[in-house]
Amino acid sequence: MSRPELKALKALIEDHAPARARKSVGTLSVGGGLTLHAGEGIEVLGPARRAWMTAFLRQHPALRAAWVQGEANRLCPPALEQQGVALSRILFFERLSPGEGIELALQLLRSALFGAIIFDGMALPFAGREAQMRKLQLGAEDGGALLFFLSDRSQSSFGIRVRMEAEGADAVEFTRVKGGTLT
Amino acid sequence: MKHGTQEWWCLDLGSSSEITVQDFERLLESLLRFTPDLVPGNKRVFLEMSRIPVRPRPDHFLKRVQVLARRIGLDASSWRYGIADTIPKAWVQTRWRALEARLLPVEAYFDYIDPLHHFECNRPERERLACFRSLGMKNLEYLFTVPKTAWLVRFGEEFDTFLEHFEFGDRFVWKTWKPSETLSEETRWNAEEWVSDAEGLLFRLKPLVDRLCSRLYSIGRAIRKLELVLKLDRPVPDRKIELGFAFPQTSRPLLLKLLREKLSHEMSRHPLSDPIVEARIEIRETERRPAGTARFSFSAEEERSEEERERWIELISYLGSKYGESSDGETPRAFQAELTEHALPERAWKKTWYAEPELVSSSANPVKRIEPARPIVLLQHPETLNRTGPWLRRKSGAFEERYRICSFQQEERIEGYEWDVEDTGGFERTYFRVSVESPQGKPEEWWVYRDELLGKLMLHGLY
Repeated sequence: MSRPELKALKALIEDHAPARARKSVGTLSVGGGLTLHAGEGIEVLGPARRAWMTAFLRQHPALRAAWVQGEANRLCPPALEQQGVALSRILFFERLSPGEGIELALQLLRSALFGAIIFDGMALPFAGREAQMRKLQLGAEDGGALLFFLSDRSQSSFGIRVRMEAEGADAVEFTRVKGGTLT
Repeated sequence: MKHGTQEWWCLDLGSSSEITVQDFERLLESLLRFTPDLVPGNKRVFLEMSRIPVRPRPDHFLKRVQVLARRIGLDASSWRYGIADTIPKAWVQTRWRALEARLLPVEAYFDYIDPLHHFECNRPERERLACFRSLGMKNLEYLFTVPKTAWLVRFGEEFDTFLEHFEFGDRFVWKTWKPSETLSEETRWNAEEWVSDAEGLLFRLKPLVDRLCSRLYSIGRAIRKLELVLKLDRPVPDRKIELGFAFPQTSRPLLLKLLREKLSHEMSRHPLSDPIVEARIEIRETERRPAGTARFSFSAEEERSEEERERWIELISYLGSKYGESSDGETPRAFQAELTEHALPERAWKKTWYAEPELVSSSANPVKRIEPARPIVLLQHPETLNRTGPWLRRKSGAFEERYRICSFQQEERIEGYEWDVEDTGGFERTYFRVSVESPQGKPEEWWVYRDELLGKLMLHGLY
């Protein structure tokens, strides 16, 4: 097949493919504002990553969230409540392996009830990471959710749209922003 | 007549449970949300699911049914399900759980003959079974070792029916259940509880309206006209109040609002002379509710939230069974947090799991503001710190890391007596919020307490 034919075929497919409407789920108000769309991955590093996450949940009171932790729970729920996050909208999971975490996340995303899935201290295995991320991304796109990865070490993945270093609930430094104009 | 492969899901309600006709009807109404093709039987329901575009997972289906049954007041913990392409097979699969039909016990013979009603054998049937057993037949496989004509000669039409249902289950004839055109809910009151005004009456009628709206949602209909019948504690004709709607209604708040207006008007014109002993709401005129049209947009929001609530309950039930409480005594890996009254910060909350939590609403969850702010991360086992001048030493593995103190600010003092904290004894802690700089030069904020009884400095949380 020649190049013009391929181009014509591509245009034909694009014309007939159903448009995927990107659902806006939230905004990052730090640094001038960035609209976040369903299916996007946000990686939060730094010592204040959980504080930043709490502040984000407070800013978006309609989001229902699942906080998936790799190790035993270290979060202090009274602090979340104190910060203005209603505990009734958060499901906590602890001591889950990455495989279990991904399976659970896909299950939660299929229900389309959650606006945020937070992986806390759960490093995705290097082998097959991109495939897992893609699965999660597609699930989150359909379920209208955002994916947050809280970690002390960065995980390189194409699915991460925003990467930030949190040194305080409202003091973050963006190290990667794809398709945005955050400064 | 249906074409193509069918998929029958049989829901077995168990032989021991007693279900009234009214409750069974309500259950059937609830099951209409899965499929319009329902076939009721004796303590069992068959659902034809092949035409449903997005079928639930069978275990999710059972969880959801259990939630729906609980709303009606039924215990569905022992209910089971089975799936097959015909009704007789679905029932046999549910009851006997056999993978190979020919290996089923010979008792299944009667289940094939009458899958809708058979449960226990009557006397002639027991005699038939005894006859089979006397011939050395333990399971259905043996029936086929004898030529069919021999059985047909002996048992005639009965064996013919068995063969039809066993080999060609799709020839089984069934009648699909249709919900009643009239919905009615009633309640009885003690005559001593005098209700004289519209507000009091409406308060008592609210559960009836809730139940009716829930049933209307299940059967996909909207109200055109309702009649409220009040029976008074005196041999006089019942008081009847009719309420018609210009547009078919499904919205609970709107119905209550219209009912309030009507009752206020009626009560002001004709006050009640005697106490009410019985109230009944009847809905005779309903209309099919086409979802998603502008005319019904006022109820779309409520419909969505009802669906969302059901999905939430289904998910919570499923996750609870998978990650929640386990029989081996392992602590649950999934939980919701509930605040408790306890002096110790680490015990100021507990793990819990709600079967039916309320939907998220910021107004429904008033946030408690306790000052000063607690840290987001709380260490399960506080770590001992050593202070030397402007440095705090924290143990990290075999080494000690040195953190430079930037600020040291007292936050609160918490104490408890032995009788407050039975297992750990009394405690006296002074908490500080400490800003430190890590060896790598990064700022951190710690929640540190000084144990006044032991005189130790402990790291308890991280902001």
